[in-house]
Amino acid sequence: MSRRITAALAAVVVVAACQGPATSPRPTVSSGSSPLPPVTIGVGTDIPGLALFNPDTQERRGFDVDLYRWLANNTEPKFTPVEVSVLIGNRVDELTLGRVQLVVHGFSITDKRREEIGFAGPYLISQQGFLVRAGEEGTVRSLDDLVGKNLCTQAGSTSLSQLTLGPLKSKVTVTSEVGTRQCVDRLLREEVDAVSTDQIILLGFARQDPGVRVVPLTFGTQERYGIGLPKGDRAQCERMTQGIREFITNGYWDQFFRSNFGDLPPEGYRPDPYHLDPCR
Amino acid sequence: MKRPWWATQLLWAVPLLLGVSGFVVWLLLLGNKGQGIADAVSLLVGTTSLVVAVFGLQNSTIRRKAENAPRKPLPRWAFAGIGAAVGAIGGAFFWFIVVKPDVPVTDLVEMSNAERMTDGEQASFPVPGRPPGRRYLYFVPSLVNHEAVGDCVGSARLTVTLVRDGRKDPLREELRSDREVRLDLDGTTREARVLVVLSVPDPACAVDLSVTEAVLYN
Repeated sequence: MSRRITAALAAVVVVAACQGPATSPRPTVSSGSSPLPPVTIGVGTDIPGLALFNPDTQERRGFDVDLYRWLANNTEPKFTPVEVSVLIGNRVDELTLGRVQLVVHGFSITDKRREEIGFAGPYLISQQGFLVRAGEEGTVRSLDDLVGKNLCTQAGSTSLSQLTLGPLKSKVTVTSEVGTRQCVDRLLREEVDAVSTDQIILLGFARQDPGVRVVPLTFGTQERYGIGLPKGDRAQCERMTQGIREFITNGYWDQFFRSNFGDLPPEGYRPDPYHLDPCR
Repeated sequence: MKRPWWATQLLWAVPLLLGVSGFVVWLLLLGNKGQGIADAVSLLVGTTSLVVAVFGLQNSTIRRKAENAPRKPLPRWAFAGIGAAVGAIGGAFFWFIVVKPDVPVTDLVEMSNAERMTDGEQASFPVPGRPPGRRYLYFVPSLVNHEAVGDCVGSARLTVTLVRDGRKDPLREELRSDREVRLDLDGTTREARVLVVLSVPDPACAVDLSVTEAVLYN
């Protein structure tokens, strides 16, 4: 059985190698000259706490990074993660076009996305919140306080859908950017009134920049982060789901959450390992 | 030139087998479930066995008769008519009296409280028929999330409970959306009702529940 899996993975790698380059100009291999089969993973580059990429040192760090590296070393068959930087708005396409084999990139599981791709997880749960300039946090206590404001979020994200289709539909002006970093920059330049996306991401930016604050207000459906994989790849889905379950139950989830989010209480962010989504 | 003995027999055997085959195909197209398919196929196998047995009997009779004085054979149309009549009456008796066909009731299922369901809410539907005409109910509950956001259907669990004549069945079945459920309705004297409770981890999720297929069967 393990021979078959290894052979299948090797075949996938050969196919992936024959395809064109992904979004990142140069994928980075994280673990030297390992004989383990490579698996291409779509990751983020500018999300504090989840995934940061330093182009000078070619180093990546964050909870997402810790998770897929742990999975690479602790699921059977083990694999070498080949990291490929992808934009938030391209995550689904990168998978459906076969440019990456997995996506670990603050990727919210949704029923709509399940029509095109598969998910293993969730491995982290958040909810959409708001980031404002320091000193203005007292002005936003409820959704009504945001009516008429200009909010920025990432293109191609569930955050954009929640703003345009949820309770704030037609009540706010929505500006979309390719990443949250660009939205935070616009906030600091006073071009928008607030940034809205998953609260766990906003907390990462607030830890990094004292000029912004997260307001204690959330709305919409939960953002349940999963590992994106090709639709119908049930075997890989089962492996990743089992891996996430062990990652949580063996205490690694708490360890990596602390190392990436500091003293943020993990309650509410940690999924129930015994009620992960079934693979379809 | 003298026809072989079996050539005449084909006049009734072929229409009979064609008729039964068509009947079986029709039954299978009704969307029968496991036991129904087995019953339909067994009807064809049984009829074929009957034809083969009669052929053998005819063969031995013809041999015996050849030794005695020849009698005037029955006309061909009589063979065909008798074959078709035996097939039709036997098939109908077997199917409607002995087997009882599956009853597709998807269109008769009327769900209540099944729209915009949130965590912990209960929908229900009465099993068609008072009492239901068959012992078992097969159905497929399906959830739909109309929003572009939310991991609602994929994470949802449904708890199905049968209520027979007003008494809740202690056995409950927990399943995911689009997975089939089979309930034993045995003992129902008046009416059976199915309760479906939604469990979804995200309290903001609101989904619609429907039954995409329902069949009563024995």
